Amino acid sequence: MVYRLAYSYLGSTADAEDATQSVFMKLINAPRSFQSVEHEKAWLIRCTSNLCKDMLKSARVKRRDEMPADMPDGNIRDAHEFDDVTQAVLSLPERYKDCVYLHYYEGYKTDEIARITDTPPSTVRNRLRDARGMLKRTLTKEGRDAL
Amino acid sequence: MTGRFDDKKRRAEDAMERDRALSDAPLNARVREAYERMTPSVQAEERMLAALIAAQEMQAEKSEEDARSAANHQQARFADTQVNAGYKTNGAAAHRRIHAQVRPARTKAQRAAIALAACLAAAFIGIGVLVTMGQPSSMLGASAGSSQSAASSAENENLEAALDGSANEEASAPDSSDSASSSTNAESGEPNSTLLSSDQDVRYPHIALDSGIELEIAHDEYGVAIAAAQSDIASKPQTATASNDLGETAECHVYESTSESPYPYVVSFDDSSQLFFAQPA
Repeated sequence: MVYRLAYSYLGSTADAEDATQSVFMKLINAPRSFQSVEHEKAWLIRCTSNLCKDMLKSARVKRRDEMPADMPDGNIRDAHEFDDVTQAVLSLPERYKDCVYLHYYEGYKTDEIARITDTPPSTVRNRLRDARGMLKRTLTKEGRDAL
Repeated sequence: MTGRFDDKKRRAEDAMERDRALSDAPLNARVREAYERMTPSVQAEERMLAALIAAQEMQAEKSEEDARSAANHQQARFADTQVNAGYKTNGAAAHRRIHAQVRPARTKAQRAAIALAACLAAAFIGIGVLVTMGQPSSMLGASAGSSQSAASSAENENLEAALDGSANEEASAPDSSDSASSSTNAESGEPNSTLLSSDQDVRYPHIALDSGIELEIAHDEYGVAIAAAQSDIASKPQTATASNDLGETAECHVYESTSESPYPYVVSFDDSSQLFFAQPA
């Protein structure tokens, strides 16, 4: 779960591994007591999400400082290994990734996602709707391009 | 009219939802499959697990080291406190600090052994003192003569002399029958020379009577004062002054002895009931 979510954010196996290790290292260094398995799962998801956002932010800052301006976006480095759906999922904006992963893969409902991500349910619904539209558009366009 | 419109609208929305659900169904499945493909490989899982285990071990070692260094720091601080509290200070603080860091903490068994050894040492010292106090003077003299140093032998000799005096005083308790039997030999009539001499006969050998006659304590051939008995006394006492060569004096009582006695006078000192024969100097 942690690795998949990290990968969906970072799009790189090495970065996803780093993020996964960092999340579990946080647990090892500062052991926490969780009320339930769901509580622990929610903590892991939020921790992973926040860590990945921080990594992307710092990577963007580094790239802006070090890379030439005409370099292509290197966010999704390993995405070419996968099919168009995976690439479409990986190319979603950051703010949709939590909701999409939790809804489509983990099978959570809108209210549960809202609790886990500490976001209003309406926001979750809107994000899921927007993400679905983006995926459809991307996949339809790619299908048309392929034809 | 409005109700019919609402119904139509609701039916249309429901149909759209159904259509969307039907059209989303393959998308849901495809997205789920896409996430499935993001599952880490077995090698990646092993790598992450190994890294986490290593990190956990390092963390455990680090916490152990932290605990050890904290304990050493505490010991060093304790040593410093002792040094600052008035112990030797010439480089001892650094020395103690180094040793406090190197020396491992004593175990419970070591602490118990040290406490037991201290108790045993205290017990042995106590027993030794009691035994020494209870030893007879002859043993003290022997030990002084054989093995101890000159200073200790001198001390023991003094102690021996003191003990002899007290012993003689105790032994010369006023028992007239014993004294009589001890003062003269029943068969020969010769006076017995015993060891029943007091301090006074040694310290104050010269006795001056009021009449001007000077007496001295009678001694046998070994230089020991000859003891007298109550039966040797034939007159009332007269007070006299006993003196020594240093000019020190003490009061004593002088009696005339019986005609059967070997010496003409009997002397007693105030602090002792012991009687001694005396003769004109």
